[in-house]
Amino acid sequence: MDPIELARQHAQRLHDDAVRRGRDPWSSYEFAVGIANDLGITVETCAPDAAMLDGGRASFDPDC
Amino acid sequence: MGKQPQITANDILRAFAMDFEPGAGVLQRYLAQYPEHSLALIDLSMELTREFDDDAPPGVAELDLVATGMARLRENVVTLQALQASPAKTFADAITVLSLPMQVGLAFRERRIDVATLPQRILARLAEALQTSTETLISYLALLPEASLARARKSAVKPVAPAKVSFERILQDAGVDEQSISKLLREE
Repeated sequence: MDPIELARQHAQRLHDDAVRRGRDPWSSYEFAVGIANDLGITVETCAPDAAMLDGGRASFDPDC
Repeated sequence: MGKQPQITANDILRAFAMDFEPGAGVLQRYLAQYPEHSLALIDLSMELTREFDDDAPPGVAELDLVATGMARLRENVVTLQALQASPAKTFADAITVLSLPMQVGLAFRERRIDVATLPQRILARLAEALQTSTETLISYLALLPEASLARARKSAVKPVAPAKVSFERILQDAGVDEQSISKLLREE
């Protein structure tokens, strides 16, 4: 099975678990942040052209 | 070019403790060079020349004093190389002493901040949190910026090379309010 499909299935499980626990999937940003927080991932916002983004829209640091 | 950052009182006292020899004129030399720290230097010289009764065992107060001194010596031993090898979490944890977002800590770790734009007070507090000297932190920050290799990005374009920006820019990017930014940038 390719990595994309594995990732999709993992995301599906996270989605279904979050819905079962009462999170609202129609508030998509809060839904995603809630799952991240449940996984112990800190989410911070920044300015759209923030220097730390190096031209991107979002970044993830697994070391933090 | 930015102004040269000043040496902190802790750095001077540490250097004095390392150089100190009773009767060798070290205290006089340091008092002449750093008159603004004369009280602290004199206090430290008195501690360093305290006499102990060799026949009596050390008391609890004396043992506590030794333990505190030894703990302090062990604390500030993080070298430039150690800072370079430190994980992102080290900087993310250290930045909490300034009550700033984690991304500001990461900006420090990746050396994205122009040292000339950093107030001395901020440098000193962050150096203490990282258990290193201000000089070592300045040397670290002067190195070329480097983005984390482990970072994953959501982007429509190829990432641009990291560049040094002002401390104020990093704070604004992180959403720190203007009043807090003014307070942080104020040199006292």
